[in-house]
Amino acid sequence: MLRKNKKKEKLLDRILEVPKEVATNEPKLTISGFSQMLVENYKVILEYQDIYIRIKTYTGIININGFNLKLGEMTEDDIMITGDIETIDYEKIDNS
Amino acid sequence: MFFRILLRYILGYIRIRIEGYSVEKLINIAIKKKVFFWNVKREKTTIIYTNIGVKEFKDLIQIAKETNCRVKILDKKGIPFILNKYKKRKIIIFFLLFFIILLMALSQFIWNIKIEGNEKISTEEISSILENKGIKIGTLKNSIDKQKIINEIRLERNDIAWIGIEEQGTNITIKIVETSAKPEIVNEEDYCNIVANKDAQIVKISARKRYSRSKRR
Repeated sequence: MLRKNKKKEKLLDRILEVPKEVATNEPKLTISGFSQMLVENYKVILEYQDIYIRIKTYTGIININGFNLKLGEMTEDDIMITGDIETIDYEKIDNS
Repeated sequence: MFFRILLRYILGYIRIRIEGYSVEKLINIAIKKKVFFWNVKREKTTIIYTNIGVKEFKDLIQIAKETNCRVKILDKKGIPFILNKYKKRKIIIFFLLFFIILLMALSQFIWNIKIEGNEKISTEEISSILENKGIKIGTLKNSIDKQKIINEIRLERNDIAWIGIEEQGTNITIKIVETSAKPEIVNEEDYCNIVANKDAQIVKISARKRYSRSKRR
């Protein structure tokens, strides 16, 4: 249940060079080509349609526009999106 | 991740259609409950297609009931369903088992004997010796006592210095190292007479060891 709150990067993590997506709750997007995208550290899928995906993460909302979007493989922490991705935009939430 | 899908393929998976208004909710709940499914595709605003493993399907139906979604099975894929197809054809299974048993049974015998390293001794001679000792084409592998046969052959034959028997599946390789017959050793301690072949006169005796009894006549 640590994941529920926003984790801050600790000094120890920085010294030991723990990867940021493990140490904090910040999402990590890995885009390979125009057709594949991996989102790590996400919370829930808000909306899923053929042309539009809204994913809520711990720091904001990610919108993905495209065509024939498919959710490839899903686990608790990461989600794979395949299909023709056109645009990606963020909506930042301030939850201080 | 790829490994997980491969595992589902081995255990069997199904392609399903989920219909309902709160499909995203269903997906989220399923992920939180660690129900693994992949290749989700949206058709219209209310329909999604997805693949799911056989074991997780029951969990998904429960979640679908909670979120008022309807689930329909479209296709069954994977190895268990392919095997199910052949369940009625008993002859195929019978012959498959028959061949496996036949293969295992036949691999217990020797089908090939190879003899290496012989130059003077002919191959037929060696194979006849081996036949007497019990190495023949078609004998059981387990019935051969290698060390005993090696010892017996080495005792019998003087012109074989070393013999090795190697098993490789159904093949047997016999390696031989030959020797020339050992020379006769003269014991120098023994007494003996030296007798000449022809009549002759002794001119001189030069004894290297001991001393000569006879004197020059």
